[in-house]
Amino acid sequence: MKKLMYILSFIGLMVGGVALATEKEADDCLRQKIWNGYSEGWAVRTATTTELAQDEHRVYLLTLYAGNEYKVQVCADGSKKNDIDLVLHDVDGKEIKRDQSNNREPELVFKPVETQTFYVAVYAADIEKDKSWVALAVTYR
Amino acid sequence: MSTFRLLSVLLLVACSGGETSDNPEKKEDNPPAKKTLQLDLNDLKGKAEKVMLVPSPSEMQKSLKKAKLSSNLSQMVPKERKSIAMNVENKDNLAVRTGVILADLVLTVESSTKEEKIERLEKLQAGLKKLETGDDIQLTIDEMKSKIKTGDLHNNDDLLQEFEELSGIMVPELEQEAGEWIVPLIQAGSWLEGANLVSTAIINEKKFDAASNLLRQPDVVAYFLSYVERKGRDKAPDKTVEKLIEVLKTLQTISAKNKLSEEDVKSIQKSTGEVLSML
Repeated sequence: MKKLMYILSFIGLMVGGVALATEKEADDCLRQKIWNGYSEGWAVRTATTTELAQDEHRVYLLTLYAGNEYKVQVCADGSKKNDIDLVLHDVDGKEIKRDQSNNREPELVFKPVETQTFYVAVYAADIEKDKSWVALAVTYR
Repeated sequence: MSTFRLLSVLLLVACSGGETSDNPEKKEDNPPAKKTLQLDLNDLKGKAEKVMLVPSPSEMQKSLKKAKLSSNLSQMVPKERKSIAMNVENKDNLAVRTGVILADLVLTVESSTKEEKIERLEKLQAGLKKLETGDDIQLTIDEMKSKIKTGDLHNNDDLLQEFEELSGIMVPELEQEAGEWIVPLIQAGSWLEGANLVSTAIINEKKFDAASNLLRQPDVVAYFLSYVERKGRDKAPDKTVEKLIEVLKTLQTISAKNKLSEEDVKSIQKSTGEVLSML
C-alpha cells in the first residue's frame, strides 16, 4: 500500500511537472529577462513564441541598425537540461555568430557595422520532451 | 606451458580491453559530439518568418543618435497627426492609421501631456476594435489609461516601457479575425511615420551620409508591399491605399540602391509625407 502511494505521488509529480512546462513558463521567463534588461538600457523590439520538436528549427528575418547593439534572447520551457541553440547569419547566408551555451536560455549579442537584414535561427538541439515551447525576443540599446 | 600461454593471452585481452572505447567511464569523459544546425542561404530564405523584421519607432530614434544626429523625433511629430480620425471604412487604411497613432504614442512619451497620451490610447483602441483584434488588448489599454489618469503611471521611463511592450509584444500577437495582414499594415503605419521623421531629420541636419544606414531597408518595404498588394484585399476604392502602394514602390526602387543620395532622402520624405497627410 505504501509502495502504491509512493508510485502515485511520483506519477503526480511527473504529470504536474509536464503541466507546468508550458508556453506561459517560456513567456514568463522571457518577460523577466526583458524587464531586467531595461535597467541596463535595453529596450524591446518584439517578442514571439513558438513550439519546437527535437532537431526542429525556426528562422526569423531581422533588420538591424548600424551602431545599435542587439541582444537576441531565448527562454525554453521544461527541463533545465534542454539545450536550445541560436545562430545568426548575414543577408548572404554566412554564419556570423553562434551561441556557445548548452542550456535552454541562450543569447547572442551583436553590433552591426552597417544596417542590414540578418537571419537568426533558433534550434532545439536537445530537448527532453517531444516538444518544447520557446520564447524569443530581440532587444536593443 | 600451455597454461602459461593461455594466461598470457587472457592478460593481453584484459589489458587491451581497458584501452577500448567500450569502457563506460571513458564514454562519460567523451560524450558524443553535439549536433549543430547548418543552414545555407536557400534554407534561410525559404523558411524565414518576418514577425521580427520591422524596427520599432523608438529604435529608429536610437539609431538616429548613434548616427550622430541631434534631432529628437519626439518634437518633430507634426501637430496635424493628432487630428487623424479612425472613422474610415477601408480596413487597410484603418490599420495604417492605427500604426501611425501607435508610433506617435511611443515617440512622444516625453513631450506629450497626460491628456494627449490618453487621447492617443483612445484612438488606438478605436482602431483596434474596428480591426477586430480581440478583447485582451482593449483591457490592457483600459488599464493603461486608468493608471495614467490616476497618476500611477507617470514616470517617462515606465511609460516608455509600457508603450514599447504594447507596440512590440502585444500588437504582433494580436488576434487577427479579419486577416493576417492586420499586424503588417499596423507596422507599416508606424514605420512610415518613423521613416518620414528620420528623413526630415537628415534633411534638416544635412547628414546625407547617414541616410543609407538609417533609411535603406529593402526587405521591410517588400514585406509591406506584399501585404498591401495581397490577393483578396479590400477592393473598395481607397485613395490612401492606392497612394500607399505607389509610395512603397518608390521606396522599393530607392532601397535597391547601395547608397542613398540627397535626392533619395528628399524623395523618401516627400512620398511618405504625402501618404501620411492623407490620413
